[in-house]
Amino acid sequence: MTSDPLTVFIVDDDDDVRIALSRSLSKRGMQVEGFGDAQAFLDGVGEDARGCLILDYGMPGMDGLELQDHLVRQDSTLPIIFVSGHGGIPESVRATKAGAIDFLEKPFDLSVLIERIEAAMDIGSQLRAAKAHRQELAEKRSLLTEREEQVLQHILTHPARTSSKEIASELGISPRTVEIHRGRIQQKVGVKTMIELYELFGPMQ
Amino acid sequence: MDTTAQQEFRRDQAEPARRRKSLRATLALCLGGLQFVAILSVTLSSFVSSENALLRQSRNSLNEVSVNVISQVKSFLNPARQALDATRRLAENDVLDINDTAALESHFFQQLQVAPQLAGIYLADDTGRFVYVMRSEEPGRYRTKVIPPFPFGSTEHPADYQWRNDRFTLLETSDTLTDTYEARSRPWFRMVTEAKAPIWTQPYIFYTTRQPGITYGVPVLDEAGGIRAILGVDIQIDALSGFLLDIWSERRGAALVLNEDGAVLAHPTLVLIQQGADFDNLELPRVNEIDDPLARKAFGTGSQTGMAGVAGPVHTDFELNGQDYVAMLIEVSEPGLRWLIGLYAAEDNFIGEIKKSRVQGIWIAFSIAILTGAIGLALADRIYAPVRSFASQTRRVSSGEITPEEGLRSPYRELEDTGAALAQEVRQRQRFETAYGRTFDLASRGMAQIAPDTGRFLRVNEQLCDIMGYPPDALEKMTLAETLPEDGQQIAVKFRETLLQDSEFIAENQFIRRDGSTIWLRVNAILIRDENGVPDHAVAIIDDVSDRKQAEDEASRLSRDLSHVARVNLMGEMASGLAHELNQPLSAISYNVDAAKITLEEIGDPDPELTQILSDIDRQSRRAGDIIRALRDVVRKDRGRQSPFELGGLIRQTVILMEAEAREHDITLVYHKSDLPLVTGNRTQIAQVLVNLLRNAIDALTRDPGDGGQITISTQVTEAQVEVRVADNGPGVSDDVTLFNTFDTQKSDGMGLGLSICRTIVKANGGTIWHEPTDASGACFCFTLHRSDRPEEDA
Repeated sequence: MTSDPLTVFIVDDDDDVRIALSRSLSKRGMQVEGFGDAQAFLDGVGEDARGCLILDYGMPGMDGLELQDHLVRQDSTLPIIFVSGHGGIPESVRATKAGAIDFLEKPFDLSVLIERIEAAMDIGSQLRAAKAHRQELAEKRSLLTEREEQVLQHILTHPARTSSKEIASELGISPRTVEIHRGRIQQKVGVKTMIELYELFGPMQ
Repeated sequence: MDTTAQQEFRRDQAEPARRRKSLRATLALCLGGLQFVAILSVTLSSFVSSENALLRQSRNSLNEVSVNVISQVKSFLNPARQALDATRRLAENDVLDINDTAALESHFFQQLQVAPQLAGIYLADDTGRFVYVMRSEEPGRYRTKVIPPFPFGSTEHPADYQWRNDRFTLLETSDTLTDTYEARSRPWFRMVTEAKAPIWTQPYIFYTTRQPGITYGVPVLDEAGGIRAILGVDIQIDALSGFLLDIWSERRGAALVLNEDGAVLAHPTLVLIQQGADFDNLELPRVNEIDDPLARKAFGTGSQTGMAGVAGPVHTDFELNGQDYVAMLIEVSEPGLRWLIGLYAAEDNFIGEIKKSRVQGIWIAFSIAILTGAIGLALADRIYAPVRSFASQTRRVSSGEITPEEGLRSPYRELEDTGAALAQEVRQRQRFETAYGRTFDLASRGMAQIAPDTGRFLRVNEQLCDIMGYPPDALEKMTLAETLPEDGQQIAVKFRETLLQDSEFIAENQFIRRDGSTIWLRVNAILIRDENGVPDHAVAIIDDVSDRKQAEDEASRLSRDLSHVARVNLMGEMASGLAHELNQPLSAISYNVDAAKITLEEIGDPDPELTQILSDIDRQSRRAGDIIRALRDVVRKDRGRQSPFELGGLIRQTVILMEAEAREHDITLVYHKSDLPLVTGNRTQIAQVLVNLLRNAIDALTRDPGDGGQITISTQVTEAQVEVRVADNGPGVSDDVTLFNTFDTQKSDGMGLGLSICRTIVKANGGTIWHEPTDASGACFCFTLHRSDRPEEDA
């Protein structure tokens, strides 16, 4: 959607390591941005940042896992590659469970990292696309009136009982009114059938 | 066997000999001896007193005899004197004409007839006239001699003799012209003339009769006081000797009549006096001259010095030829006359019987003493019999042959009382012994009585038999040494030596059971001595301490394991820490090399050598990284295998390990035991965690010592986990320390690895570890472990 180059963000408390890695990646033509700690990264990088994050696992203050947790809650689309000086299996499991795409143990072969970065970039673009789609749907849904939203809710939560009569008895209104609301919903969201509607909003539940 | 100890034991046994007297012998001796002494004292005292009494009696007897003799002597002398005094009075009053010779003769004749002791009576005057009537033999009983006056100094003069019979009939006459008798020169004539008073002459032997006699002379005075004539009478005292013989015949002794010069006037043996007398010497022999040794002995000494001074009775004792005699000298009081009566007699006369009866008495006393002694013995035996029986009963009661109720009866109340007391004592002792025996037999611990010298088991209880695996009768034939392994024989020696020094013997050693297995026993023994102080037996309490020994062994094994694990963990933690620290620069090197290589390519026509150098740097940094990773992997692999184990036992052993260290710093370790399920993990690693936490707590308490440092270990069981809490009442955790960080420490000499290792281990064992802030002071560290559903595997 935009032509902004993808950025590789590096968060590592060890300046020497961070600078060396930044330099090496820059030389390969990547846009690199380094931060000495997690808070500096949060302050300096917006939620819409694109690219990937190379995150040191053990850091003073907010550590890698905490930062990951924070980004997840922000619905960030930055894929995270963990690197650790003394990472063990338990740490890597935790990180991966929380959404990290990889966990590298220092010192690692730089080619492996570059490979991961490229993969992460692809994942990042997919994530961003999905996120954009979700945002679009949410915008459309926000156009619904309160009663229309009630009807949509009922359709999504009770996919087997979607007749006008059933919905009307459930909400205490006339089936005719339900028909009108349904028509409005299809018009606002831009779908022609109830199936389409369900496919669009169902996974969001 | 050690000879010193043996000798010591023997010496202990040698009891100093104590003098003990038999009651029976004492009784017999006392009874018999008392009897003997009593009899002897009575006998002797009566003996002495009777002797004294008899000596007095003998003197009294002598006195009596002397009185008798004196009266006899007087009766001899008095008639003569009276006769002469009467004649004198007649003459002086002119009733009798002294110039009438016929009247005189008649008068004298009458006097002689009246007094048989008179030998003759006569009258003389200074004209030389002499009329003398005397007793005669033939031809008549009386002879009269008349000498007419003649001049003094003429040698011969005429004299007429007439013999008459008892009836005064003249039987024959005779005369002579050559008579030589001169009255005026006679001693009696001279003495009277001189004294003009009655006199007694010295006794002498009568010339005519050769008998001892004495003359009494009195003057016939005229009115002017001049001497008209002198009357004399001869008293023959031989009859006195006869009398003495009579009164003394049956006695071994004699009465003598002596004059004050010591001359013997009368002696029972008359011839003794007459001996030595002749016409030239008409003097009586002195007492020390006569052939009577007794008389000489009794009175001779006195006669030599003169008998003067003797008045009252003088008693003497003397001894001759082994015979005791008593003697006495007493004066005969007669006017003008000093005679002495001497008496001597053998003592036996008076006390011979007594002496005889005394010997007899001694024999009788002796016999009685023997008899009574025998009776005393018998009596003592009778008296002693109940005592003997009592003693025998006591022995039997004491040995348990009979009960106190059956025995200990006695006819003596005192013994019976003693018996009652003894019975009570015995019952008490039996109760005690029963109790002791029950204690011994029922004790939960092994007990034994052991001979202190040989170490032989004298008595063992069931528990000990169970411990040793022997039946009682087999064990009681064995010695301590036989239950000891070969390399533990010195214990038996130490046992004997310690006990004989009266010290308590305490030892833990391995012993051999019957089945040959070894067992750890704790033997605690003391020596019991009997009432004489001789070692009797040792009482030993024997406990099986194998379990404790095993626990101690396990604890020490755990300690060994721990030290290994501690090393491994320490190394692992260091490697891990180093890896992290070194990885950073290595990573930086690696990235920089990569950047350099790209830069070099950008320049174009890169120097191949430089490219090679950069590649080498890159490779070496990776190599370094590989080495570190390999080291970390090695340590990780050694984390050990995990299996279910009993956490409670592990905590107890850990507490045992750490107790000494805690005690050193006056810190109390408290473990609240509770039933714990099995947990999964590496036992040794978990022990390491406990040790580290305990050591941290001890260090904290030691750094800031307060009163009553205490570390409490508690556990809590949840559904899936067991939580262990180690809390101390020390200063707590300071704020500037990040707990569980490697190389971060509060200790001055610490490496900051302890808690880090704990965290690593607990994590590796699937648990968590954390510090829990408490309200009170001090730190509280907790960790969890997973419960195990599997049974504990044998390691």
